[in-house]
Amino acid sequence: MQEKSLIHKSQQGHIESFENLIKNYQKLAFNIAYRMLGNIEDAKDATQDAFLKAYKNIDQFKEESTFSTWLYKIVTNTCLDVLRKKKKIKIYSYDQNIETEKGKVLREIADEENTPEKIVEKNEIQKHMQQAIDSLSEHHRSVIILRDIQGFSYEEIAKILNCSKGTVKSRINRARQALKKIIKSGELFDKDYVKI
Amino acid sequence: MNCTKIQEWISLYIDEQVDEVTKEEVKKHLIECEKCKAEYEMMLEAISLCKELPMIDLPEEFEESLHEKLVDVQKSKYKKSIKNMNWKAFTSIAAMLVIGITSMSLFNFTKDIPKEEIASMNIDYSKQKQLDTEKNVENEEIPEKKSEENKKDTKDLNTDVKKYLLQKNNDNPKDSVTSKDILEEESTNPTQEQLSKIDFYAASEETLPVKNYRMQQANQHIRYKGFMTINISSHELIQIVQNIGGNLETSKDYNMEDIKTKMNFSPTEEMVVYIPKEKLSEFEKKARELGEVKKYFIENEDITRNYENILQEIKNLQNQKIKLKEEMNNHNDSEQIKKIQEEIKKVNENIDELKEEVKNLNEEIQFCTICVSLYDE
Ligand SMILES: [Zn+2]
Repeated sequence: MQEKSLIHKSQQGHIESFENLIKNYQKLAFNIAYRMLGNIEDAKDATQDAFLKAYKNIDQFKEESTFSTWLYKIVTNTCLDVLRKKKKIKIYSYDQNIETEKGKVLREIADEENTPEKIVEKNEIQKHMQQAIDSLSEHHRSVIILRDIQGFSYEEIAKILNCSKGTVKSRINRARQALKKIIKSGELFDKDYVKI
Repeated sequence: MNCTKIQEWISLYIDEQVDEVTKEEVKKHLIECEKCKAEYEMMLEAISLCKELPMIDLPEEFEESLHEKLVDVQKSKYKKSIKNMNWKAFTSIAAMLVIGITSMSLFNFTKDIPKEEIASMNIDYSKQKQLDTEKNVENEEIPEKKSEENKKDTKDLNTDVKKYLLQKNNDNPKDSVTSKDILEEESTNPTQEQLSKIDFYAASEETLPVKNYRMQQANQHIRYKGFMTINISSHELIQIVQNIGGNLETSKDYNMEDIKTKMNFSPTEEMVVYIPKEKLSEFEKKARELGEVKKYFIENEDITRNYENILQEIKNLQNQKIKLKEEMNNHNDSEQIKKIQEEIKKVNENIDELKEEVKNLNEEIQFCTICVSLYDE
């Protein structure tokens, strides 16, 4: 109810209403972007860009749909655009990329192999998890983030990614297979951390 | 069921997205088969590692800097809204004309597509669209069969369509701007392309689904989705769908006979069916013969952008593969060659997967997805 009136006011351009409207969703939106893009700076830019897009185009929001889903959809699309642009750059400088990136990752793991404290260990797992997610294709990455990190339902994911539930099902399946493979291959994980 | 099949099910099994029959089969197999059980546990582990990733806080001053940007947008938006007045009045007139010729109960929901997607629809063929639209409007005749019996049924929906069009029309100044315009906030007057786009959508609403084939460009892709509420049994619904060559959501896993004979297939209140686009009116007719349809609508959505993005991605990956192969030929070091081979393998997997996505999209284009709610009475 209250959200409805905030939407109406936002549609008239009222900034405060819009800020109130997104208040409950901005953290999750930012976290989607953070996991998609892998760093805080890019995530902040992308989230803000997405919110501005939402503000500009809120006239187009249909009342039958859920506002949060609509917002997350814009956030996800904005991140996918950022990734696509990045990828274009990457393709042209491909030769240097493979070796340096992997070399770096491997060295990092070697350095941190024997960290004793549990907390540090946990942080390391999380860091490597993010690296694993970063190495997924963008399709896989977005479903893993939405499903397994943020816990959206299949229906919601279908709406956010603008595809059918069937596509979501097969994408999640493949994405998890891919993630599993990355973890299993031990490229990014030390076997002591993850008992698999 | 073999292990490959089971492993395809594991992810859906974990999320309880499989029907009872499959669930039992997977469950049983996981007890019997070590290898699949290991795969299953590994996937659970991967999922729980994802779940353990913490939520991080918004960066400092996130809200403040966003606020400043919002104020900037508001300023430019206000300036624009004055100029937009004429444009709005103009499109209202266009909308009235459009409603005048709209006789079918179908409409699209392009409004739902994020702006950027509509925006970057290829302008090059919007002119072509206009030509086609004109051609079609000239040749258009109300399909004979439809005229009498369906008119009553579509009456209510027509009101919806009008409401929708009116509503949509209010949004049109934005609906039809290009992505460049969105970024630069400069679009004030309708261009020829923008006008022709409105015509095109309006006309396609009119001619769906049967005549829409002519309307569509070879490189334009429309997805159909819909909803129906009807008081027939799931068994009857399955029969109709089967008779006209459609599919059920679960039919990819089982054939129709299986579903009907398996006693533990519990009657669902909601079923998703896939109807070949050209059989839509036949499906509607048969459903209405058997039961009382309370609610029925079909929406169409332009997914050309999605489609082309994926094709482009495949192209990019193929180029990448060529580059990697060249690079491999330049290397003598076996370590390096191995690395590149790995990379090529990855690229190949990506390509295969995207091709499957294209296949999925093709299915969505050829079949209309209808969510059918069955009620008792
Ligand atoms: Zn097995």
